[in-house]
Order: sequence, then C-alpha cells, then structure tokens
Amino acid sequence: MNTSTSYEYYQRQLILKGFGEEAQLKLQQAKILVIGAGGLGCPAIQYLSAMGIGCIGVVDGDLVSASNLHRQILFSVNDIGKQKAQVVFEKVSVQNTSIIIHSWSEYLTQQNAFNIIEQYDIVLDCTDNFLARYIINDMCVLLKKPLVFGAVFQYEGQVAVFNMIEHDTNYRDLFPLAPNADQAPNCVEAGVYAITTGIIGMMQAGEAIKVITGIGNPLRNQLLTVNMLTNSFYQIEISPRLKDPKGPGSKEEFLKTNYQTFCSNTSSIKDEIDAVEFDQLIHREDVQLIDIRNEDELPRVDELNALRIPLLSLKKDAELLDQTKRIVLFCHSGMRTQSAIEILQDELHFNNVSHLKGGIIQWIHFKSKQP
Amino acid sequence: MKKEIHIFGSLVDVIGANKITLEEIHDSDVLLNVLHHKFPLLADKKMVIAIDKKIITSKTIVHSSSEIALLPPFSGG
Repeated sequence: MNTSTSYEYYQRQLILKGFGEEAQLKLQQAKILVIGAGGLGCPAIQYLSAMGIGCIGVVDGDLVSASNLHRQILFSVNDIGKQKAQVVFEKVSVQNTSIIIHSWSEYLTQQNAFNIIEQYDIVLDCTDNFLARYIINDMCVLLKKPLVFGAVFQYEGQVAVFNMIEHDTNYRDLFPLAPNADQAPNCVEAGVYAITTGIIGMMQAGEAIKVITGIGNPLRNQLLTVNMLTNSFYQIEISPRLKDPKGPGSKEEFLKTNYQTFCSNTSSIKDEIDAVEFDQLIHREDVQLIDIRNEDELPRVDELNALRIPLLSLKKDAELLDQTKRIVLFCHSGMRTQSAIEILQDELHFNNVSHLKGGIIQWIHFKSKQP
Repeated sequence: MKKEIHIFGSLVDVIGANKITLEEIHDSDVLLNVLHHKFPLLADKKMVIAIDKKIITSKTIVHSSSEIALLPPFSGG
C-alpha cells in the first residue's frame, strides 16, 4: 500500500481529534500477539488488522468445529476441520494487505511461552482456560509486556489491562490462586452468548489501541465487568496483593512451576494418567474409554473406539458406564475431565475412574513423536 | 443498616439473584460470615469482594453509603 492509498484507507481515523498520523504510525510500528483465535480472538484480530497494526501474531492449536461458528466470525462452514491459526492468516492477509501476520498453529505452553511472547510489544489473552491464562500472565510479568485480559461467562464478560508499566497489577492480584475448572465453567459447559465474546474481544482490541497510541484511559489496574442482558458496566479498582504468593520470579522458576497442578483440584490430580499410560490402556479389554467432548468436537479419534458422552449428559447417561471395568475419561485439554471426575466420584460414587492429563491433544502430540 | 450487594457471573446461580440485601453488615468479615451462613456453597467458590468499587485484600469497614460487589473469575473465551 503506497502513502496515498494508505491515507485513504485510514482517513476516517486519521482525522479523529487526538488520533492523527502520529497515532497511525504507532499502530504501524506495533507488534501485537493475540493468544486464542476463538470468540474473543476473532473480533479482536479483525479490528486490529483493519486499523493497521503493523504486525499481528496469532497463536491457537485448535481446529475449527461447527460449534465455533456462532461466535468465531472469521470462520465459515468450509473451514471446519482446518487449523484456526492458518485460516486466520489467510483471511486477515486479504483483509489488510499492508500488515504482517504470524500464525502459530500450536497452543501456548510453558515451553514455548517465552520464545513467542518476547517477540511482541503487547499481548491479548483471548484464551478459554485458567492454565493458559496463568502461563500468559506470569510470562508477561517476567517479560514486562502489557497484557490485555478478556474472559466471558455466559452473558457477562471481563476486561482488564495488566502490566502496562512496572509495578502495575496483574491477574494474580485479582486471583492469586487458580480456581478449579469446576468453579468457573468454560463456554463448552456453561454456554456462551456470541454478542458477549464479540463485544469483549473488540474491547480488548480497543484497550490495546489505547495502550499503543496513548489516547484515552486504558483499564489499567481496573477490572471492567460487562453484562449484555442488563447493559450494565461495573468497573472496580485492583490493588496489589502484597501478602499473597506471587508468580515465578525468573524464567527458570517459571519453567519449574507445575501449572497443571496449580490449575487442578487436588482430588482430580491423583486420578490423572499421562499420555504414555493412556496409550498403554487404550486397547485393553478391562478398560472403558469415555470421550466427554461434545459430539462435533475435533480432532476425531475414531481409532480409540471410545464411547462419547458429553460432560453435560454425564449424569443422565451414567448407566452407560461399565463399572466392571476401569473407566478412563478424556476431553480436549484435560480441563473438563476434572469436573467429570468430581461428578462421578463425589455425586455418583464411582471409584474406578481416571482421566487423561492434558487431554486428547497431549496423546496426539505423544503419538506424533513416536517412530 | 441495609446493604445492597451486586452479584456477578456464576455466583448468581449459587445465591439465586444478581442483587441481594443484607442487614447489619459493618465490615467485610461480618459480610463473609453472613454470606457463608446463608449460602454455604459460596465457601467453595473463588471470588473477590469489592467495597466502593475497590477490591479488598484485608478486613475493611463497610459504611452506610458503601456499595458491595462479589465477582468470580471468568474463564471462557
């Protein structure tokens, strides 16, 4: 895009009072990382791209599935089964041809967090689980990167800006210890209103634009909760928690932190099995494999011959479980099975149940490394 | 002294409403005791308490004009 085309493209924001060429140049020079290309990430990425962020990184290891389409508006029916990050790359590259898009078709993990996050100026947390959220938060604190947090529950959403400058608050000042998965159900379990993810994702993009350009007042040290049913906004101030445990103080400490344990409830940890043990169990006659993901969820693992009972139907369909066998549960990333274990053990009094740590994506990763 | 308390997210399912009124709440410790007595399931829930739109991290006085909110973590995206 040459200078005159570029002026025309951004003309409506260039003439905004307080914006102008200086702000546009800051956007052009900015490198933003969006982690999670789902309900929050899709609208955020589209607006960041349209407004002219020079470089956008997108991290997501998930595949597009039918149940994503009502809110993940970059994807269409033809994209089902494709890598989200790759589809985003293709669509956004056409939306604005003058920006650079990096796509990472992998999940953000403890192992890759440093190398990915250090390449960017600012990070948007558009993920859907606490494990990723604490990993992102802690690495942003270590690398001193501003973090725009967004999360939703049904019709409500939260937005905050952490770490904008040194000694600002971060997610651990809100919740020093991770909630158990069953304490804060995600979209798969609780449902989600597409308008909420759209609004919150766009607000995250807006906060990032404010941080970069210096316009307005970002939600620094503030948590904003939005309710789309009542049209109410509730903004509270976050103070540093001086007495509570902090996140890791160095990269080494970060790598040694057991985030899986930190984000799990203690009763479910003892019944976890890893991908190696899972692989040894999958063809045994005395084991019943249960896939608690929803019917349309990908990746398909037909070779496992597992019985699919979605988490929400688990109580209703518990009679399908064979109590004469060892029951092994798995889900996508190992979060939902923590809730399932609690239901089966505490409410239905099963005692021969275990679940796959890290979910089916861990087993697929393990198999891909086998000769 | 009647106090209106704003409830957010999944806590609405535990408490049964997005707003409740409690009496004789003079500080945050009393507030927590009353809440846990009335709604035992709250004990298992992570949440922050905001008084006058500030998250509290230690015992805090509740004034007659104070506004109270209970906010849980959200994880969806």
